[in-house]
Amino acid sequence: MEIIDVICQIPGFNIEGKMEKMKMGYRCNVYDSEPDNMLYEWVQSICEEAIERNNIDVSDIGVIINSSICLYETTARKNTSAPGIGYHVQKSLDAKEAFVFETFYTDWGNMIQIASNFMSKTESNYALLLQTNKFSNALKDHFNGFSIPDGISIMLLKKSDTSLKLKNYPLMPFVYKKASFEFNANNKDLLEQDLLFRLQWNYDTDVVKEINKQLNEISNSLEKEEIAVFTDSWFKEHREDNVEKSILSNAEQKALAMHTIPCNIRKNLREFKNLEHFAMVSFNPFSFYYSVLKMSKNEN
Amino acid sequence: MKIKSAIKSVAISIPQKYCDNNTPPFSEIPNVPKNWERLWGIKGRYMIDAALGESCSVLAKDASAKAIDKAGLSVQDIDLIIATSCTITGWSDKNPETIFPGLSDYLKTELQCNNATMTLEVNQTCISFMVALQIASDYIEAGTYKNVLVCSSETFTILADFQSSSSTLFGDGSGAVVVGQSKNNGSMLAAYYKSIPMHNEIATLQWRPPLGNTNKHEIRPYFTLEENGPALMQTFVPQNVPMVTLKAIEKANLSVEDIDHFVFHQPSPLLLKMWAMGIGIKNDKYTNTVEKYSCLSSASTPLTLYMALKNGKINSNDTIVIAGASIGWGFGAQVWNVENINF
Repeated sequence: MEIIDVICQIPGFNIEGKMEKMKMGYRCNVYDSEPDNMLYEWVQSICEEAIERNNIDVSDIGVIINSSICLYETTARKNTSAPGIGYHVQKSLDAKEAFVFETFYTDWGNMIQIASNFMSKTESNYALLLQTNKFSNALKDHFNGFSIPDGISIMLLKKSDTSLKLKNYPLMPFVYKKASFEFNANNKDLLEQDLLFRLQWNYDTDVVKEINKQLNEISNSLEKEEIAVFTDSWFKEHREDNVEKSILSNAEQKALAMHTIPCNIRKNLREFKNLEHFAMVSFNPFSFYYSVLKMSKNEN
Repeated sequence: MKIKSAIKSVAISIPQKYCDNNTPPFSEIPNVPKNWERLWGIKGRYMIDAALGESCSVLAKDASAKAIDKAGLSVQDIDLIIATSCTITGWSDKNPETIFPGLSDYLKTELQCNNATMTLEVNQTCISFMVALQIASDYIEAGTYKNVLVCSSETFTILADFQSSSSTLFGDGSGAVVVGQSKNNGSMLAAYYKSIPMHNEIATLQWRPPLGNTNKHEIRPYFTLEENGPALMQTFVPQNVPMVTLKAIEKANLSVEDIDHFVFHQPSPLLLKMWAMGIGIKNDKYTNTVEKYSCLSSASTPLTLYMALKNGKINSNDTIVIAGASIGWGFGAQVWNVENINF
């Protein structure tokens, strides 16, 4: 499989370089996206754009995989967590041959590998991968030190002879302070305000050191291979002395969580399409591991 | 040599308390249509009791530990845990408000697996177990992992709105399998999947107060079946499971007669009959667990696999089909050569 297009939208964030509402991840207390624009409508418009732009025959899409953390607004009923938003995408695209499923809070590397494995047994040529999150209508926690931006990123993949190599790097258990997404079941005041959920991640400087230490080891190893590297950034101090050692001319500097890699690819799409080899280094703060997916064109 | 995958073991964990339709809270549901029990055919279900220390996660841990043991492995041998559950919150005995990290991370910690063990949460509602099996099989065939634990655990009674008739349809339970490298002739021969999203909103998990209540502080996730849901389901669910099943059998270059047993997801006895008729098989070719256990969503399939093995319906070297439907709607079928499934 190869990535043929990427779209990344974060409200207030202009892909050409202007950032308004969205602050950097750590201690971000602004989640605003347009309150009337529901997640299912938002993702629908982006997917339609991707399909039209690439002139894809929708009947050639074999799988639609969505990964979300905030399971809300997944259908036109608005207050739903299931079925997943992928069905709404399939319906709006009329992608009759697609099979839809979800992998919750999954990183890009593992999502692409799962899609590639699945597609190898189908006759279809395209896979649509989605990372969709909209927190602002159901989560507004000004006291928490962790946030994930409202955003939608999609990757459109096509069958090809590009080879994939995935390796996961779990962090050591002594630094386990995993992020969590929880239901405000016992907070009547918040429920009265429709604020159903909270995000938590009480990480400290030791955790940050360990996260960056592992990232540096991964990056140094990849640097020796002289391949372009796309790296997640989940908080301000993430990869602070490690900002894009890649060959990209226009690397994204902001912490955009799971949207960092697609935003970076999008900003450098022309360069990206000419790359023979590259690696994606994704971080998963909920399961506490890095994944490294190497993609190489025309390699046996 | 090409690596093939095989289901090595299966185990289940069921709550102690059994509730038939005449037992509270099921006997107290208002406005249940007269033909409801005849239509759905569910006579009762097992239901967790928090006072007994039962929860979705505890059932999952129990089923998973047994499946690993039956596979002749230790927890240290598990490379990947894939968990599935529709019980979005209230599933964890450690923190009832947790949504994520999910059940797979819980199992990794509570079973004391290696730090290197990877975790994954998969959701395709009622056929999540099948999708997880597919991902596990793909990873094993690719040589990425050797032993994968797939655990589906559901406590739908905490998602049940007891003001709605639909709360009678579901129960609680957990099932787990270990998938590993085939040693003999075990393998997934073929699979076929289809999603039909036309009616993706007739059965949903909604965050809302119970029916008849407007207090926002009582918002919980509730399974919600639209009034016209059962009628609309009849227009496409009965025919699409046979369709994907026959396609999968055809992809495996087999015929229906070559299949020794069918393990279906268990929404209702009526749908099982309609699926069997559509495929052209008699009722001794499939196992019914739904009458006694109700629908356990994603845990129905491993439960039914376990019962079919226990009742001698599936034996070593048999060829079986695993098939089902999920809300949204998804349909899938897998054809497996069974090597030896310990249970």
